[in-house]
Amino acid sequence: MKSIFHNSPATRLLAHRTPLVLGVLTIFAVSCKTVRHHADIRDVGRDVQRRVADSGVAVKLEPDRHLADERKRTLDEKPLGLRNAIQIALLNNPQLLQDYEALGVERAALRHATILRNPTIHFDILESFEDEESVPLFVPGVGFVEPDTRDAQFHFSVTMDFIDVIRRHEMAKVSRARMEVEKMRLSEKVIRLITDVSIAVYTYQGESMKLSLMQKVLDGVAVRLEMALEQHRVGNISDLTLAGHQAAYQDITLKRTDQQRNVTVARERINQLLGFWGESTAWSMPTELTRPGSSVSDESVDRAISNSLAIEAAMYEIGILKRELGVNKATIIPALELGLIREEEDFHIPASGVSGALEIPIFDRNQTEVERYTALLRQKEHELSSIGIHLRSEFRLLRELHDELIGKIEYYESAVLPLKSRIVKLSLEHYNGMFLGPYALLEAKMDELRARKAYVEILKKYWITRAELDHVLAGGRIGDAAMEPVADTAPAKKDGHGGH
Amino acid sequence: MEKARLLMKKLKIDRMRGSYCAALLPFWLSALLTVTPSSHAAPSYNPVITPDVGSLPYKMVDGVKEFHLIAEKVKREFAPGYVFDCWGYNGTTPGPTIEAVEGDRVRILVTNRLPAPHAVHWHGLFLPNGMDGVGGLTQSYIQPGQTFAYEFDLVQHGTFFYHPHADESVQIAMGMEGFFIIHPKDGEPKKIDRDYCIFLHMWQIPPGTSKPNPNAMFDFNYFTFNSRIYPGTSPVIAQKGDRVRVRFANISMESHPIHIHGVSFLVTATEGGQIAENAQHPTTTVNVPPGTAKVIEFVPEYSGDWPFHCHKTHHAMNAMEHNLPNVIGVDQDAVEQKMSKMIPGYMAMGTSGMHEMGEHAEHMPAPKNTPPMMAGVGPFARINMGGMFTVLKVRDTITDYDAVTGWYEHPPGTVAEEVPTPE
Ligand SMILES: [Cu+2]
Repeated sequence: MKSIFHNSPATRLLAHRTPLVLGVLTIFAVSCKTVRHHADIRDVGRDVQRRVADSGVAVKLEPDRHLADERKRTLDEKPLGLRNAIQIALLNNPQLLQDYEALGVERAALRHATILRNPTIHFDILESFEDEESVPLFVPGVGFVEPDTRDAQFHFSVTMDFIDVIRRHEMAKVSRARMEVEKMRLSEKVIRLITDVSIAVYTYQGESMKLSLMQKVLDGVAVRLEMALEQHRVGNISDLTLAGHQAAYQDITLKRTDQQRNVTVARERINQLLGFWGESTAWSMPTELTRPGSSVSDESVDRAISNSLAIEAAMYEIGILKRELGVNKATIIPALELGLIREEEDFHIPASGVSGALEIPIFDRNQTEVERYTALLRQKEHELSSIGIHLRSEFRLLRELHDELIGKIEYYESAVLPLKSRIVKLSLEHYNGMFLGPYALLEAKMDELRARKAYVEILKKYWITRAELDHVLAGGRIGDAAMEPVADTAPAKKDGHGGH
Repeated sequence: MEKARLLMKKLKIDRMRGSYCAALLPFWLSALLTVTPSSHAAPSYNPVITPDVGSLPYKMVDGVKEFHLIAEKVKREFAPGYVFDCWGYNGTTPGPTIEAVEGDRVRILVTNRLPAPHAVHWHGLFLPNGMDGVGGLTQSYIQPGQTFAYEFDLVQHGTFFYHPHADESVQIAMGMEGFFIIHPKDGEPKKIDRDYCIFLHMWQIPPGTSKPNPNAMFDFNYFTFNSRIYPGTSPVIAQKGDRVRVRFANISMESHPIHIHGVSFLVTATEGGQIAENAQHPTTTVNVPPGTAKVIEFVPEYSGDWPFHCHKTHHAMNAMEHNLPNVIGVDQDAVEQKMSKMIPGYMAMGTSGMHEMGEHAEHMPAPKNTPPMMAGVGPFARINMGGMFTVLKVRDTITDYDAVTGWYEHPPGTVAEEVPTPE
């Protein structure tokens, strides 16, 4: 960027008008909210770090692109693994970068809501039509009136909505609360990203392991075909039998292709999440899923509840609604506009005074808004308890699935896989005694490989479940239906500032 | 005890591989106890030899020869180290040979220690219909724990046998059968020096198991002489010039053409009686169909170790799978390399046949309780035989038949050997 502007007319202009530039910069710095929303993002980073402390992932959110790119470069030099994949995603995930800016937009919008409404200046200048024939004007509801044909007049007044001043204090509190909710939403997104990256990595590792097992199965079928071809060549099997072996080989070849596709898809998912493109997509990663971790206790549901960002956000929103309800109740006092007025007639005799407008609350005493907020509040309270119930139930399901998968993995490791290997060993013994042919022996080996593949699938499912469980324990949501975004429940403001 | 020791010694000499199971000793001893005749006086006949089985003792009770046959489960060692859970009589399969003399009155007490109803039929004997031993038709079943008495006069002589006539397909398949020999009251017209009884049987015992499968109709995998497979079968021993009689009986699902090398023999009788001399013709193979006995006689003139076997080739070998892919002539070198990478320990075989199987069996693990399909080691090399195979050992002179255990010593220049291949 520097090189583009170096010695450019703009640079020279800036250089010659230093005081002006300083002034502009000062104004810019004062008005710029970048720093403020970067602090928000780093806040969120600290919050997430606390939440995922157990995972050993260092969460550092870096909204500053320059710093982020620098940190990413050092990460790029390390071999790609789960932890640095997460760190890269936190620095580079395109959606997260959009979300950062969205938080900036939100911050600005909320600040705007707390800024005093500008005073209004009214003025009008009237001119007389002395020598002209007056043309009656039609005024709906009144009839024809003679226009004023006096000399020119000048009216000027400044008015301000004082109710807005009264409400401003309350609205500031609401805005701060809303900002907290927004930060929670960002926390959720960051946690979701961490989980998504974990799932993508586990999926890639699992699918890669399955691919290599599939390759072994294909190798086995290839050996079988080779044997069959040789048998056919020396006249021991028919064309039909050979065709059967060829068909089996083709079938496994296609299945291997499908598995290759699964790996490709899993790889692309990682590229998307980590914001990789071009040369950076040429990464490699160890393709070995580790053994499962410890089981999760039933009591940890309390941790999930106390950490739940959805619950915390809903509670904040209840607070916001209560406050908004209070404000709306307060505005049953009629709206009052006060102002200063100065009037000049014929540009000779100036006059000044006070102007005022008082709403007469006969019909609209704000009762509909009060009703609406009361209903919204109750709705939110129901939603809160619904989130709690769902979270507990789904946590239980997830935890049970998690432990079930650990059990399955242990069963596979202690019983299923050893038995499959034993079957291969016994098959070899039967082969040695000529009770089993080489094809049947190979089939036993393939069966072992298939069992291993099924085991890897379970291992993969385990790690995905584990990631989801950790996600919930860190305060994330299970599923998307648990809570609707704030926008849908927030009332549309008359002044158009509130919605987002 | 001395006899038991000798038998053990014999088994050791003929053993093919693995160690003889000492734990089986009591079982062998109990089998031998039934073998030893306990008659008061020396028999008036030349007793038969039922190799690896023996004869059933009797006692005289008021002028009646009383035998006690016990139907029960038995453990049968087909070959050293390979023990199967069969059914039989008095500890063995086939059951001990009942020997009596034409004109005797016999009482046979049959105790059923099987878990199933039983009845014993006396195949080929003329007797009162109610003594024929057909469950349901001629008598009530002998229920487990019960003892029935069969009593009748022996009005004929020859080679007969007994077997269950209750749930036959199961009980016979499990090994229940035995010889019933009636010696002629006037003695043999020609003196018989060696009189052998060999019951032919076949079994389906899946590799790695110990129980015969009585459901089998086809694809039997063990073919036995007196419920023994080679090299667990005892040899037939004769001195040059001996008159040798071999009585075969068969109630298995197939016929067995038994062939003997080194001799020509006459079929002299069946379970139906003596064959007229002018109807006897010389042969070297006698087919023994199911439900029959065939009696052959010969006088060996040539010493040596002569094969004695069923001529159905798959009956002279032990268990193997018959649905194996045919790899004869298949170059397996490349495949073997790849296979052994996938399955360590894999060895290609069958390219040039099964000859190497015996040797494979020595160092390659095989299913438990499953003998190699061909075993036995001869004086020159391995013998590619199993199943219904034994050796007729003819010697110039024999002083103790039980002592004939070693291999035949060939006179110089009488053994085929390598010579230059003609151009
Ligand atoms: Cu046969």
